Amino acid sequence: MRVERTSRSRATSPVIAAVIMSAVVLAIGSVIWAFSQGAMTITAEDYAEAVVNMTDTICERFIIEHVSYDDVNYILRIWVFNYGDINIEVNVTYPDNSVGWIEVSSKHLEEISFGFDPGSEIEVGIKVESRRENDVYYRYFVP
Amino acid sequence: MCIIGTSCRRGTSTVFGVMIFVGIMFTAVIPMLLVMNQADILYERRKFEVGRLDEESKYEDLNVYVFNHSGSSESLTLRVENWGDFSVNINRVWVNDTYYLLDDFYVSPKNLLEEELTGFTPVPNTNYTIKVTTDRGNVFFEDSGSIYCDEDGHWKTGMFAIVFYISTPGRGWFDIEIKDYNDTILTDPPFSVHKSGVTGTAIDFFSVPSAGTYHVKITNPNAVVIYENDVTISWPYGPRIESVRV
Repeated sequence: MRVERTSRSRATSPVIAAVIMSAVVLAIGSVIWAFSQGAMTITAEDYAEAVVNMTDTICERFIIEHVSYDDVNYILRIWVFNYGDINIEVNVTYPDNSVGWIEVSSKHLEEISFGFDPGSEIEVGIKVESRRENDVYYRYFVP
Repeated sequence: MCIIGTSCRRGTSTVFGVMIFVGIMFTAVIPMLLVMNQADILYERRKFEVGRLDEESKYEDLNVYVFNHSGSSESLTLRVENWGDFSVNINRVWVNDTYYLLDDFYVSPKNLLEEELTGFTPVPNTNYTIKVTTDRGNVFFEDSGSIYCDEDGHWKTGMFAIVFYISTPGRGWFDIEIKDYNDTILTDPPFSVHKSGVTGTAIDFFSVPSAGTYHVKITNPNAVVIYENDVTISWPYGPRIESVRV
């Protein structure tokens, strides 16, 4: 008799405990699941974006194709040829100054001209850098 | 009885825990790894492609010649010889600071192509530097440097010459005799190249009047003939300056 009563009275609480334990596990698991899914999605997107940016960086190809100087109007002309597959933005830097960002489409030649007085200098170092931090140099001898 | 046993209560939540862990693995971690792997593959593919473009660009090998047949015409002929292993597409030709676009100017490997350069008026007493740009981003200058428009509007090209590189052992004066196709000796007064050391190379050049075949004979300081051969300057089908190495 005592054994039966004990067993019957103890039967309810283990079931409730199992249900509660399962509910807690499910709840915590769902939170972790949701969090990890969000975190993983963001991580994957960030990684993919970083790789795409890096890919664009290594795919940039451009040259300073030609430079000329108009010594009447004091204008320096620079032709930048983007022979890569992606559009680029470039900035021309010459001694103590820069021109500003200019877009050069893929497979296009862009003329960039600006006022320039070489003074007594006969040799000008020109640097063209892209937004993705690639750069090319050109040494121009002013006629 | 299982209901009473403590281990059975842990078992239910363990099963749920494992299911959630597996779920996280399959719905979050593995897709993330797949996306990352895909991005890596894209990166490697593009890296390979640009590497190949750079390699092709590095091996572009062109000779560019500009000449005028008649001597007084305003038009010039551009000849591009492709000595490389890849087809080359010439995008532009620069005549001083002006460029002209070329359409479908593809030069096959080991082949040449010509194009009339029209549409510009030469200014007398002006030097013209001509260069071409390929779609792989290489710039090739005309091989002879520049072409000159004189005051009568006639085109003048640069000099023709034979360059001598003498590195054969021995020191002293190496006599060089050059004859044209009429057997006329051009090296009158005699032309000699001095080599001061037993080793090393002596370099000098001799200017010849025009393109053609010249007979060249080189004699060493001991009066022994060390070179005797014909040298052909095949301009405009080749460079203006040929070299002889002994």
